[in-house]
Amino acid sequence: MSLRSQLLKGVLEGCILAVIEKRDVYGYELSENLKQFGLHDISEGSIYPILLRLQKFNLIEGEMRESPAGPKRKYYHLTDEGKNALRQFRQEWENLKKPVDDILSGGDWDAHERSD
Amino acid sequence: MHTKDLIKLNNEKRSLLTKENEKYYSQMLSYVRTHFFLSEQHAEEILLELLDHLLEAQNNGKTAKEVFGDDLKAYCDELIRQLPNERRSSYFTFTGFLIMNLAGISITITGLAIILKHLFTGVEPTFYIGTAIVNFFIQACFIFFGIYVVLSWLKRSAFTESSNYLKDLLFLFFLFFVIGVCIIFIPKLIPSFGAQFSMNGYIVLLIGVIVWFSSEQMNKKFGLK
Repeated sequence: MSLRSQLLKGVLEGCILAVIEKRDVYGYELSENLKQFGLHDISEGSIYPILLRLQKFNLIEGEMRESPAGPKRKYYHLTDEGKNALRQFRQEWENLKKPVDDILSGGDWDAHERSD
Repeated sequence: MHTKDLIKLNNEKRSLLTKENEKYYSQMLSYVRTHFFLSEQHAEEILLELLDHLLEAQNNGKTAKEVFGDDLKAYCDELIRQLPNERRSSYFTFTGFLIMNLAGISITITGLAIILKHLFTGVEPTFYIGTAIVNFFIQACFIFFGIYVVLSWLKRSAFTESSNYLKDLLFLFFLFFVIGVCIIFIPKLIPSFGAQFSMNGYIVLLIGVIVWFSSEQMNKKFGLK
């Protein structure tokens, strides 16, 4: 697996949970939503292994429903466990965001050494 | 939705794909389906979901390659990793059905053979119960082995671009020939043991048909095939 896909995997999981939290979506809608936010480079198909995984851990559930376009689609919604997992993910992300940014941008080493 | 309906819907919808997308999608389909231990219901659900996605993408001018990426095998392996396996109970029912079905066919053929032999030679062949049971299991093993080889061969050849029909045909012919020879000749090497009996060909035929018929009823009830 490439570095890129390893990095994306966990992050994408959190993003997918967040999209589903907003409203129930089916696969194609979900991939369009992710693109609207600027995640253009991931292949659309890559959401499906993640959707399977999230279902396996009971974080989301699928349900067949009529779509506005006509045919029945599998719409996903969050379970209570999914809501918890999303809350946790948000918190983890908050904790990671700043330090990772600082390290990657080659930030202020002195300030961190002094504080140790 | 029942697995059979999912497969039917999949067949209908697949005809809406462009030729190129159909080829790409069918490779995924056959690769996932040759994974015998996966839960068929879950596998068919995700396959149909992917097909729906592809159809919608196709309407918006995207190709299957853009949707599923360049490395189709890696993509399918990732899907398969996330899919649950078939429940053990339905796996046993299916094996039970296969064995009964095979036994039914085998007993029916034996019945016919006895009738023919009796017609032409006037003798009724004798059987040894021990030998008959051992032989049946040897034959069943070879048939399962054949199914296994064909499945893994399909699995391996799912993504090869240029399929050589002559080579495929020769391989299948060779496989069936070898299995056929083993099924016919290995039982002749098994020594006779167990109680000896001779049976009227029509009774054997009747038993065979009953076993075969019950296995088909079992199939209908559980929706195995």
